[in-house]
Amino acid sequence: MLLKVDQLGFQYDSQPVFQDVSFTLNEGELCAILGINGSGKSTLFKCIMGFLHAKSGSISFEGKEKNLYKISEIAKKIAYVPQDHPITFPYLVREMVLMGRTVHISNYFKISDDHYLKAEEALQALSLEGLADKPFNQLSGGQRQMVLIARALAQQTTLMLLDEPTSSLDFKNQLLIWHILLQLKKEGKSVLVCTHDPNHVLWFCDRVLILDNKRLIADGPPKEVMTEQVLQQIYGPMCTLETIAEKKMVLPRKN
Amino acid sequence: MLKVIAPKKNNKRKKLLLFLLVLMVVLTSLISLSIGPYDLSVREVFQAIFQIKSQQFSDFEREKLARLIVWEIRMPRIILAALVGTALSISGNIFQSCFRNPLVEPYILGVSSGAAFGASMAIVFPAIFYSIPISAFLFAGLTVLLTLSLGVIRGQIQTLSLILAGVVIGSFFSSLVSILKYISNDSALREIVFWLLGGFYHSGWNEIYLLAPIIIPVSGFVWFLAWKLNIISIGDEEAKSLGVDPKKNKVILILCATVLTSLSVAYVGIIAWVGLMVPHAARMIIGPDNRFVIPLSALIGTLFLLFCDTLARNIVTGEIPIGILTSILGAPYLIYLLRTKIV
Repeated sequence: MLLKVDQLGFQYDSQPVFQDVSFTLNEGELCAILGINGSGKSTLFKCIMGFLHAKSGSISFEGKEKNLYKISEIAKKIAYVPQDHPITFPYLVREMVLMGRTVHISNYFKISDDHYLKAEEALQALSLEGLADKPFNQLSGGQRQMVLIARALAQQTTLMLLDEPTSSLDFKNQLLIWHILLQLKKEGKSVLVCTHDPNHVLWFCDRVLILDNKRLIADGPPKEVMTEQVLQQIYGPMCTLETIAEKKMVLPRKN
Repeated sequence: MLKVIAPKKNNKRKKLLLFLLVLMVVLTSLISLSIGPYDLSVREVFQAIFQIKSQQFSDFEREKLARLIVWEIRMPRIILAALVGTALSISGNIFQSCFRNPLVEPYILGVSSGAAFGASMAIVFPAIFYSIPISAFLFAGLTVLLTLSLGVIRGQIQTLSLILAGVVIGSFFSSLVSILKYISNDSALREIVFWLLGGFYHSGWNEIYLLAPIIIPVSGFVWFLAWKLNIISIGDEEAKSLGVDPKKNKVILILCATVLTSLSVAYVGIIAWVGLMVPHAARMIIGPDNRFVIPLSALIGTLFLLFCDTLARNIVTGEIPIGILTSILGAPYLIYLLRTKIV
């Protein structure tokens, strides 16, 4: 068991965002978190990462209370891909990706070839070599998202958390990202990904956690737990679940 | 097989640039040593520095004088300018990176107003506040502590509230300075005004013995943290996820910046603009990586203050406070930045 979230609750002032969220994540799982805007997906991520402090419950990692780890120890085990955002200073794409190696680098003034290579590899995996010498600031939102994913890859952790990684990507790159996530799974790594596309969850994930009305309402294989009833509960009556060419798909309801 | 060529080649170029700047600093210092009310040739400067005796007997007096001017008057001034230029530029860079705002300057937390108040108190009440630099330094430290205590909310450093607290505390101390100006007599008022504009008039070896053992190691330590400063400058949450504790490192770095700024201000007064524009210029030349920005800022800061100070003591018969020159040269630069490069 890699990650265990136990009865976690979080509130801003007195407004609860979610409560009683419990789940565990094992090695080699590709798990999605689904929920409407404001359902607390990002907040849950931030609690897991330790950016926000949960008001109740506990999080443990590899059997140990997560708060007991040092920040640098966690960074060796968990990588985090934030939502796309601009930065103040014009770091080059190459430098941004190299920053993913920070916890592994022993001498910042004499960074060994190995780290540069890991960063190059991550860039190649996302076909970003052409952008390596461009400032991160000058990229489009989608390109920035790809760079942040490359940085997380370069970090080489056992668990990766991605906050809506495909939200501003074109279809080709969306498929590329899912391909990479499936690859990570094959290597025995775990991935927890927040997404807004129920079809991606149906197609690519082994497991889904559904957050609705401040609680976890479903946890299991997408094909089993994403029933028409559950989908309508979260997305309303305008969607329907159909099977096309033996693949389940969430589609808009006719009329 | 992948090869690492581009980033390494890039780093080599940057190192070469730093080396060239070091040469420029040496050259400018030599020129600055030779220019002054008593003109010396570069050759005489050399002879004075390396204590070479000339052959002709007749030059003995002039040689003695040259040695005195070079070693006791101009050299300490140049070294002090270099120390202060380094300190202000590096601390400006720290604040800009920590606050993720390229328009922040080292006086943002109220250091300058606190120091100004301390210095003015020492000028108006010399009997109570024994020394101007000590009083300026103590009040500079005090203002930063006040600002920090207002800006840290629930154990978190809130950038916006910190900057606002700096503005509030700063203007409070500025008004106290105004009161002191109002009640002081003519000579004290003149001294306060001169102090506020900054200058290297009181440079001597004693100041250097005091400042160098603090400014040099603190600057070195900040350079040592350069990579972490890079990570912090992209955001707290990301720093944390990449394994760098943003809170701990920011506190350490801001303390270093405060020591650097308040010490400089205490001895040479408020020299404006350096801490704002030098890190900016450095980043435009060498990119945002602080492993290079920090040494380059130190070199550009040194060059800029050397240049301004040489001007300050040569363009009129008396001496212009250097703060005036740095502002005159700095303002157009900021306008240029605002028109072209604003991030």
